[in-house]
Amino acid sequence: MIELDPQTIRLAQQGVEDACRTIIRELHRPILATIYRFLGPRFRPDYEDIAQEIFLKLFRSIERFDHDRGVKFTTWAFTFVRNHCFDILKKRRITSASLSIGDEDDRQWEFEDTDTRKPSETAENTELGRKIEEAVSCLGDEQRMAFVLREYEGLEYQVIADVMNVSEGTVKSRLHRAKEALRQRLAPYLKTGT
Amino acid sequence: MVDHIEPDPNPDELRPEERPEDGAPREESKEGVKRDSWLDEGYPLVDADFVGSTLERVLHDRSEIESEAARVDQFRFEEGFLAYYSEPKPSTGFVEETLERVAAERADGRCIRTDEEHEFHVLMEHAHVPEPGADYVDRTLSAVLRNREEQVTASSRTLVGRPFSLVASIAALVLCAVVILWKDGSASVTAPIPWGSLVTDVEGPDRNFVLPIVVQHPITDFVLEVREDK
Repeated sequence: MIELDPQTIRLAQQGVEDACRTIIRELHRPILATIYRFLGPRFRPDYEDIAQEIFLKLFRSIERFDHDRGVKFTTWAFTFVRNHCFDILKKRRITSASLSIGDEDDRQWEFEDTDTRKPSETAENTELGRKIEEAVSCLGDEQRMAFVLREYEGLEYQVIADVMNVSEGTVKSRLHRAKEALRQRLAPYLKTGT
Repeated sequence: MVDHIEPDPNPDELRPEERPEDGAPREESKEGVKRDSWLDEGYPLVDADFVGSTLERVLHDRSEIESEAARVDQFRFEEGFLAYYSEPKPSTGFVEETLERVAAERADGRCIRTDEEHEFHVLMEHAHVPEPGADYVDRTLSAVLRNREEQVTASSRTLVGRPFSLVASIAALVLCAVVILWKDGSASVTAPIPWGSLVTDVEGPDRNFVLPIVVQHPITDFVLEVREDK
């Protein structure tokens, strides 16, 4: 996991532009990737905007980050990712409920988005990539977040627990369930089978 | 689809506690349950073993989490399998664009702060603080002393007046009660003690004992005069 130099964070807290740039440069890939995989295809057109909003929130509060408390800056940054993504999903659900839009409409979103993909996007256009994406999208929010942070971003269990504000055991339990669900869904594509 | 809806009940058919004062029937839901009837209800019925069953579920949940957590690494995806679901590369100018937005917001924040500070300075410059008069200190001191004197007078009145009258009235009441009981003669405590009993009750006085007081005449009567203070 990326860990930023405390001096860089201190300078960013003072508003030094280069330090802010370093933080964005170091964190933008994992943050974008997490948003991309966690929110799924329906938010694909906006995922960079969403990432920028997270960075704005992070820099609004950066003065409150205290390195001496023993929390890593990356862990702290991922809590913004987690909270912002959950807020987005919650808002979307409320809007969907108020407009009486059901699951059928959500599926339509996914189809529309899949159809508008560019041919150059090779990796995700593969059949297997799409199947994994679909399977991950079917996980519950908490399981999906734990799975993405662990399997794709390589965060430690305790860090994920801190980000998600639950115990390490709960994180492991969610991961186990997530992996079981994915194993069943992706069984035809796994060499080891079920 | 609702097949049958109960008609609104006649207010006269309602029990007295259910009948509204103005004679109009209370608003009811389609199920025929009064919407504010929950106010009259007691605590909801809880299963006798509620605590036990809840605890059992909590413990079961915990053990389930623990057993699942222990199996977290039981299954691993094949190397590179999950990589098929790859994320796209970020736009070329993502870092700089984000930095610009952050810097712009910070600048706005500074502008807001600077504006506020400026407004405050202007406000303070225009604020007119009156100069105190030459006799300000003397006037304040005399006012303070006057106020203090008034407070002392008021408190002494309170100290002398109220408690004294209270004690006097309690004493007068006690005195009256003693007189009434004395005159009735019913109270054994206040009855006159027959002379000699004091001596006979004492067992074996010392031979050379000399009584320090010699009473010439026995006390047979006692008159208590009560004077009322003018």
